[in-house]
Amino acid sequence: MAAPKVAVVGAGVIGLSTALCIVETCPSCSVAVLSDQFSPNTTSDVAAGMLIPHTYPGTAIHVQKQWFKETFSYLFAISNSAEASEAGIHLVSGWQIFKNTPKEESPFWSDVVLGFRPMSKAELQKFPQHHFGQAFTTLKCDCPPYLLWLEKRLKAAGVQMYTRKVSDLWELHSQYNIVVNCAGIGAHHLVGDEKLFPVRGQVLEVHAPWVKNFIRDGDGSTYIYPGIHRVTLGGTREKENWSLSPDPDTTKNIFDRCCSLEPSLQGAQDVKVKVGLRPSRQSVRLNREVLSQGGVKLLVVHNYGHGAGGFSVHRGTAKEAAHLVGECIAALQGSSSRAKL
Amino acid sequence: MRVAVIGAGVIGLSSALCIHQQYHSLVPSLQLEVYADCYTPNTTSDGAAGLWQPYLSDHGNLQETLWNKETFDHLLGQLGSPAAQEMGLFLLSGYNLFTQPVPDPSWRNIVLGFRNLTPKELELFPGYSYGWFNTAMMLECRSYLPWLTNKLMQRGVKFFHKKVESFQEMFAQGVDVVINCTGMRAGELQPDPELQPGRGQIIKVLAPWVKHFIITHSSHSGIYNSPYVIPGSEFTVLGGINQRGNWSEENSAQDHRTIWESCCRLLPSLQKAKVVQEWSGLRPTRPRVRLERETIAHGHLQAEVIHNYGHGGFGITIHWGCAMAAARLFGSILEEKKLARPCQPHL
Repeated sequence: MAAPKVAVVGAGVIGLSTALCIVETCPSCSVAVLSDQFSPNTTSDVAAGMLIPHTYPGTAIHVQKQWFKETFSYLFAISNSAEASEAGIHLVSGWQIFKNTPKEESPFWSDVVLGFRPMSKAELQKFPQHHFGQAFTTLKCDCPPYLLWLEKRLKAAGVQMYTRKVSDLWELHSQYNIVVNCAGIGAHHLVGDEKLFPVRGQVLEVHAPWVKNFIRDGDGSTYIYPGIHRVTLGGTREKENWSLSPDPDTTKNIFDRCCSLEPSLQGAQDVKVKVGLRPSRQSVRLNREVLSQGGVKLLVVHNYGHGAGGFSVHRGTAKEAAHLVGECIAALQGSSSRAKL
Repeated sequence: MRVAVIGAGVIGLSSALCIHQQYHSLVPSLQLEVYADCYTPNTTSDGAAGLWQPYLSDHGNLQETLWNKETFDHLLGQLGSPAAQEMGLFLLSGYNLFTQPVPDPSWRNIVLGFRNLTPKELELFPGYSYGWFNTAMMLECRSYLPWLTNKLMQRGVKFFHKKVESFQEMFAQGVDVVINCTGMRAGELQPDPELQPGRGQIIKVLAPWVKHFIITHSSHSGIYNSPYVIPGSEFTVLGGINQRGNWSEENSAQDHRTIWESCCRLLPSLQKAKVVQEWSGLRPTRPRVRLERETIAHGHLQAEVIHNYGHGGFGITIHWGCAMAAARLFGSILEEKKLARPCQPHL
């Protein structure tokens, strides 16, 4: 059969990294990325891109750990190369602090990040309201740079990008053999997944270049993540809130919470407010599906629902999705050779 | 009581502030003046990256370790205050790298979170098999010196742009006590063969993705003669030159190449960094800091000099401890003068 035609729907970190993995594992495929939004207007562009995993209640821990490990290794190599600044990948050290000692003193990812250890008493003195903490070094993917870098690599590999709103996967059946659904929060309407819900996050991006360490409250509510040019201050976790409009009271609240952890932020300049909807789900939907309509089949691979943990596992899930695409291709080749009989 | 501080680098300005803070209310006649031919941004202190980190070993000089600790603790206390940003003060974490295991430094318990590097971390630095990670602080003099200057001006301290040629020149003007914070050029006021230049050269680049300091050490090169990368609030400093006895303040093309190549090897992402500036300066190197009183005859009177110079490549690291010590020496001079006053003839 002719080169399989694969459409990846979605151009956030999941869509672009999945497209790249498909290109890497299936060089004969013709791959296109279709999305109504590209960087800097994707959900990924709002995220700080910190590699600190979110735990999916519906996925086995060893699977999540493998996804994280693969992602961490992949980015670690880029951060240590000449491409690091263009790709927006850099190491950052800091502290995760808790008001109350967490049940799990060492999370599943503690041996994947670098130098993980409990904070010393002297370090905790900086945070008088917090009584326990963890210090470690991890990676950060700055967006837009990381997405733009992925786009550049995709274009160099011959992948076409189309700005196009896909309202129904069936729209694509005449042009493509396989559709990879990386639509993030868009999957709620695109494939009618009621189990996918938004968790609204508002963040501030400020100019405070003297902030070199990250600080995260272990309850996930408040964080300070220094990027290459700006520091991301967060945040909120509002379930089922679909609003993309920044809320001024929330802005003040985030700023106050972050200043109480890092007083020097009072001097931060040039505050920009952003909102993103985390595409949340009990587990990442990462599976194959065959859609049928009037005797016509469309092979679909789903890779969405990464919620608060997209960056942390993106490469791992992209590789798994590419593997599923490989299975789809084998299935197509099998049925096409059967068709010849 | 006229006090002249000679030198307006980090040592001079901090000594002036300590003395004024502690004694202006006790000595109503206290008149403090600063004399220097060089002010920020042109002092040696301005060229330093500003990282708080002493040398690896204090060579049994506990006094210097205590002054370093005093400085660290003082700065740590300032971190949460609104002044921190104006001062150019912030926390910075990073790596010290070695080609073989070394004993822990004298400052392991002063900094925050000191620990050895894990094997995975060492993978980042091929050629280095051992190292430390810790959190320390940056104090950028291009902000700190103006901040100190402001504080001093608010207190009515007067500044003079002048090259002082001798201690006698000051005494002849009626200065009672000179605080000698002349750094590298102290030898011009009083010969000191122990004071030698440790010439450094640095390249300032734009590399805002670098969030850690990285200091390498080589057993045969000597301190700071091995590549280092230190990210500041705006620029990242690349260095690794420490040439004993070299008085040249001209940038050397060969040193530029050494710094650039070795730093890019250490941190490949630097290949894309944009060079902004190059600078050379002389670390006022001495076997130990000269921090002591000296009584100098001036006619039939006795005048006092407090020496506070020779801080090598750790001036910022030790400055506050030394300023406090200089202030204590000043206090002892005041005590003696109070005792001495009744005996002086009234003419």
